[in-house]
Amino acid sequence: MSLQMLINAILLGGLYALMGIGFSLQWGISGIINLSYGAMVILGSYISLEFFNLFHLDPFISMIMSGAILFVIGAAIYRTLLQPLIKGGIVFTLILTFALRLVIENIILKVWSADYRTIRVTYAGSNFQFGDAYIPLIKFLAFIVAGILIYLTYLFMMKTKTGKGIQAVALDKEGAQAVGIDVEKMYLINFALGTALAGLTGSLWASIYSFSPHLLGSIVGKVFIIAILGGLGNIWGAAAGGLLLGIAETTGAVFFGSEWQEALGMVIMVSVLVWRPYGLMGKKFFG
Amino acid sequence: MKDNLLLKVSNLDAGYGAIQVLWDISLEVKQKEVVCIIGANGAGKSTLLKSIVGMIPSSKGEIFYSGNNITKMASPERIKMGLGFAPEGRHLFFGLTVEDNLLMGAFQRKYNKSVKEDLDFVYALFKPLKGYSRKLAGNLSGGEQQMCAIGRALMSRPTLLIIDELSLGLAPVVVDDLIDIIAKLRKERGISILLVEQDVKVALDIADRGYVLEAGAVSIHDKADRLAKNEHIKAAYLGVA
Repeated sequence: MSLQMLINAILLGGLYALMGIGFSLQWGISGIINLSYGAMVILGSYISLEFFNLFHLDPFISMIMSGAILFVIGAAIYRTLLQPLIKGGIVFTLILTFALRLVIENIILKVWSADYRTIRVTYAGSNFQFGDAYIPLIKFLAFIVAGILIYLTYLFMMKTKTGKGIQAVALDKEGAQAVGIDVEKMYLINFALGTALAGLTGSLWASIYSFSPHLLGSIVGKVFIIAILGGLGNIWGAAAGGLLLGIAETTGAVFFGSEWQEALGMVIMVSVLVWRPYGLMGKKFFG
Repeated sequence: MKDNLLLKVSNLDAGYGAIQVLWDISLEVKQKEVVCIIGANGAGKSTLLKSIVGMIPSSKGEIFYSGNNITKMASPERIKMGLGFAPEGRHLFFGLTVEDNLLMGAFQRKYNKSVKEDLDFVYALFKPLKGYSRKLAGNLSGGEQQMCAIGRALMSRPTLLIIDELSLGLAPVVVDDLIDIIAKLRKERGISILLVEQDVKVALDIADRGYVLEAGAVSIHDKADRLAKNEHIKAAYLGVA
């Protein structure tokens, strides 16, 4: 594997890592397998597109708006649709999020059509040399920003009171109720945080690659793989899972041909499910 | 209502969905009083405590706390009003440190000086916890876990501490320590205590009054020393004929 290939793989993996964490938190902590996650990522891309077209705003800035808007959308969806259904079990929320995906997908098709869109910032073509490899500036920036966002998510979960409250609910729901933590509120914040991460990823994605509603299905496939590789609800696990998927797809495309690129990720996921069902870095909670 | 009455449960029915567990329960806890609930497995003791804390909705009857009707209140609000709950099985957050477990008990308070003071108070009360403050709660022994659970409940500054199964699974020495601590909490902090206890001897020893639950209803309630002499209780719970 050449240096160039490894760098490409890691840069792609960084975005996957950010993308996978939101999905993994929603599943692992709020107990919702969010099939509309891909639609929320793409929605973030279109939000950045609009800000770029209207105000010529750089996606690295408009991502703040994407994150905020998706946070609010996530909170509203949780409160009005998911919370009443969650008692019915995972099948109910699965069906609901699948329906949501269709609704969001069709809204996007209606508003922006199925055409591929791109956001071309002025520095899109710049790159710099590292050894004998070339690193595109914009991919490098997106990687750094993704890393910072992952670390901020980690800090939020580990250091803030609300973050610890979310952990407490995930660790022992009855214990959390016993100390007066509003369990539903923690689930809501966690779910909305997940959709915010989806939106942020969408904006970063839009600064580099072209996008259309067609991507939506494969995104859900990818986040499934990442979350399962890392262990549900595990931030660093999902980050590692994202990097691994980036590497697997990049090398897979070179060695087996690009038609096998996505299949390889699925093969890895199934292998993990068979040999380490709690994820590569996941461990059962203490006790 | 008498003004020294802290908790008043009147004619309460509660259960899980269609299955009714509690039937027409009435119970009172006065200020600075230690009250125990005894009864066989499945009598509804834990269900009663959970419905007082608000983790299980009640279908009939009312619950008053410090003169306020809390029957319809969600459990976080009840905890905020001064109920502290150490549930059966402790339900600690094993993946968090001992100190974070304790701080979670103060979740609804602002983390300021008074929380720090309460933390020091809990460490002074349960000395072993101090040394393990940065360790994961899952590493604690059974007795230490119970200390952590009671300490966590104290962190919300309760006026009524509710403990489900104080001595279950603990060594006799540890139980003696906990009994001393309960006496101390009442004496020094003026906290009332409502506890469920499977060891009836221990229960009647520390409590002022007791309620006997049988098949989800209160069958007898009396002063603890009188309950200890009751022939039915002697035969059914104390193992003496």
